[in-house]
Amino acid sequence: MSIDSCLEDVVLVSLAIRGICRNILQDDEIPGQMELSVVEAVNNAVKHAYDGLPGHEVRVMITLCDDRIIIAVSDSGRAMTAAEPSEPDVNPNDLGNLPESGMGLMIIRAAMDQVDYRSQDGWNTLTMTKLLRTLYE
Amino acid sequence: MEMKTWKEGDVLVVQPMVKRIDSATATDFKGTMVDFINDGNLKIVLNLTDVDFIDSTGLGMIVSTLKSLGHDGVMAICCLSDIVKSLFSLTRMNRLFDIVSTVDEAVAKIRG
Repeated sequence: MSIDSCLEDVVLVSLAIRGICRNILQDDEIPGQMELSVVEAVNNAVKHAYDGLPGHEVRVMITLCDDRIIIAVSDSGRAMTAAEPSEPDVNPNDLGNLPESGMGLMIIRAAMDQVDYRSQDGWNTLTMTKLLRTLYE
Repeated sequence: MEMKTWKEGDVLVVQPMVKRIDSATATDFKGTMVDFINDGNLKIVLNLTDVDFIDSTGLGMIVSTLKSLGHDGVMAICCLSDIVKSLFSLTRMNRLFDIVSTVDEAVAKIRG
C-alpha cells in the first residue's frame, strides 16, 4: 500500500497493519507492537524524510512467511543518518530533561526482532522483521 | 480535542474522547491539557479508557503535560489498552508515571 506524506493519513496504514496482524497472530500484544513500529516508521518518513510536507509517497509492504512477518516502509526523501537510537533517560526527579521526542527508532528496535535500513535507487527503506517462532518459545 | 472531565474532590479526571493520540492529534491534546493546568488543576487523572492507540508523539505530549504540571503537580494514568501499555513499557515511561487499572485507583494514588 502507499499513502501520501501527511500525518492524518498514517492512521490508514496503522489500521491495515492492525487488521492483518491480528488476523494472523490471534493475539493483541504482538500485533500492537507491530502496529506501533510501523506507525513510528511512517511518521519518521513523513516528518524527517519529507520534512512534514504532503505530496510525497510513503510505501508500506508487508510480506507474510511461515516463520516471520516482514514490513518494509519506504520513502524517496532525505535518508536517515546512521546514528543508533539511545534509550531515553527517564528520571522522575529531573523533569526538565525528560524526553518528549526521538523515541521512534528506539521503539522499533525494542519491538521488532530485526531492523535494517538501506538506501537504493533513490528510495530509503526501513525493513522490520518479527520472527513468529518467538511467540511460541 | 473533545475530552470528558469531572472532579473527584480536588482531582480533575480527564477522559479524551478519541481513539488515537498520535502525530495527527497530539498537539491538540497537549493544548487542551495545558488549558486545564492553566485553570489551576494540578492534580490530574488521565483516563485513557477510550484511547486504543498512542504513538511516540502522543507519548511525548503526555510527558510534556507532566512537565507543565511541574513539581507542584501530580498526574496518574489509568485504563490503558494493551497497545498503550506496550508503548509505556517499550519506552520505559512506565517508570515515570503512576499507571493503574481504574479511575478510583488513580484518584487514590494521587491523594496518596
